[in-house]
Amino acid sequence: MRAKAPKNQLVIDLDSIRIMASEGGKLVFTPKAEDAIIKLLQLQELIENQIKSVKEQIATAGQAIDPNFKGVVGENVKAIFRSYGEKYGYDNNFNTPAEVLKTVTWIKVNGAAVDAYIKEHGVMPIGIYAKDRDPQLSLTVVENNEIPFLPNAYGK
Amino acid sequence: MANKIRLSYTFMEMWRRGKIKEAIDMYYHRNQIEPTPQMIAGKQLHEELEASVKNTKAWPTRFSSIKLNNPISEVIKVVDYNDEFLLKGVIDIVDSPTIYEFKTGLATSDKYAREYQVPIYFLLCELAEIECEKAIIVHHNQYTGINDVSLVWNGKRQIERARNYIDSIGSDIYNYFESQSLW
Repeated sequence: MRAKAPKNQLVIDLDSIRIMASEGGKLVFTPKAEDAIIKLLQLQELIENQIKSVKEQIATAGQAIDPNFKGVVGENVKAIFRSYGEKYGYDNNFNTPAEVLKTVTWIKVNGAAVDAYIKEHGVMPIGIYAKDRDPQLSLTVVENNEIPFLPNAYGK
Repeated sequence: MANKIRLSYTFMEMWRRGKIKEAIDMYYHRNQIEPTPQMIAGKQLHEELEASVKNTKAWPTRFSSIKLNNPISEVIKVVDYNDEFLLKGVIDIVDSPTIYEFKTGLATSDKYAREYQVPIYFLLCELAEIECEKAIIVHHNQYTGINDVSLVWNGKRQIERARNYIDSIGSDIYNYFESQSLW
């Protein structure tokens, strides 16, 4: 007799996941492929939540050692807090040495104004071009009663 | 230990960065460079740490709140590495099973966690029979007053990193000493 799997144990069958992914890729051809995609997305959410929990536990444990905990390096895994964005700020109420500041002027395209120009004149403004943006496929579960939004011809 | 080259992390790192003359001068304690303001400040901060550990068995509160048990500061160890080399290190604090490295300046603790000094100190502890399961790097930025702390676990991979580093740079150093008759 086959033993029951212990409770709260996740058994990951890699072959099944590969089959699911292969079935899910057929969504373009068959609605039945949706089941496989839903299972994959549920697994992804489960794993992401567990990783988030691990990060929180590492942060809590690290900060218990020292409130300024920045990271831990293990045998095969590193967990390091990284800060993004500008490192320093500027308060213009002081005589800050000029050599640590730079004046930046940049020109940005006003996208809404370009669309309005095209509507009025029927052509692209000279010097403006459409950027080649690499589209990323987003895979999400449609909520109950949610009607997928389909943009009209004017992108509204 | 006759005629063995004494390797330290600082010496090997200078060598790795191509500062051969400076490394040799440092090795033989000659033509010492004038300390920069940053070096002077770093030295003073290390002295503050050493005094605090000796007198109160604690970190200065402005550097860290980590509790120490039975710390010893400025632990100097020189051990046999192999037939050609001795390995030397000065560990800021040994509070077994943890060693501590204190850093000042701009670079944060995680940068030091990626470098080779900690693995070399793990190896040093192993050869000197000092119980060491992890290293904690405490960084104090004296310009901003901001501190940060990183932890590195000892393990086979770190020891291997240390040996690879020492063997690669050490062989270059040994060949140079031989060719220049620097013994």
